[in-house]
Amino acid sequence: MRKPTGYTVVTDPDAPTVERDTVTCGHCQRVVFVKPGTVATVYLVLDRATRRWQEEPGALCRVCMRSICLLCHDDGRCTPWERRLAQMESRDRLYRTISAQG
Amino acid sequence: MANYAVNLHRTASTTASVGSVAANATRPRRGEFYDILFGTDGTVGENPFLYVIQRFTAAGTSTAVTPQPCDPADAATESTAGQNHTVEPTYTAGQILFEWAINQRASARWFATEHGRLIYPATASNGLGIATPTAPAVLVTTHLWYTER
Repeated sequence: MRKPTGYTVVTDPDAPTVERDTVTCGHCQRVVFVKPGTVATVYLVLDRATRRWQEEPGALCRVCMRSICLLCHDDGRCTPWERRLAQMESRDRLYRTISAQG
Repeated sequence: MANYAVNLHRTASTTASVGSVAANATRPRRGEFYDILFGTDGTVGENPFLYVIQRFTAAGTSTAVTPQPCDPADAATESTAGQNHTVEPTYTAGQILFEWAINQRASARWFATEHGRLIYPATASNGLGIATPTAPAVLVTTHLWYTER
């Protein structure tokens, strides 16, 4: 992957060391593991039932041009993380203002 | 903007949470996780582990831990950290940011570039919790570094 936004290493005495690039979803901040050596980004998605990694095609939002997770890709709307963050904080400021006045 | 380090242990808790870092209830500031270590410091065993980092909107009840500034010249953090939760934080369903299944014998590290950090908002008592939802009784330790803005 050309521009990973994170990196992870797992050290296990009984298994080879695992190293993976990661991307953080530009919409919800979920960290997604990326299959190494793939020209087109391939995501590794954990199957909770079997605890095995499944390969899925990567996802890019063509509105904000950021890598996103598959859940946000399925959602289909572009809400960048910065906008969500601002919404959370403005809501909290409003609540605190109301409670201070009340 | 300053960097802080905090070590979170789960030794006596019966909840799934290992620890949490939250924005202050009265003076909230944003925080950004950028480096996290996972591991266990208990008896070695063949146990599958699922580590998750999840958003919460209330910090629950825990033993307070004081994050240390990486630069001694920096002021003390405004955020609050806790370990050994007796009451779970109020986790937001579907807001799991990080999920990793590894063996108890293994240790893991994740670190992020500037654009990949996990951010919690400057919203009272909102933050990020580290939990092992499938193995709540095992000793687990997490060391993490975060930036406070």
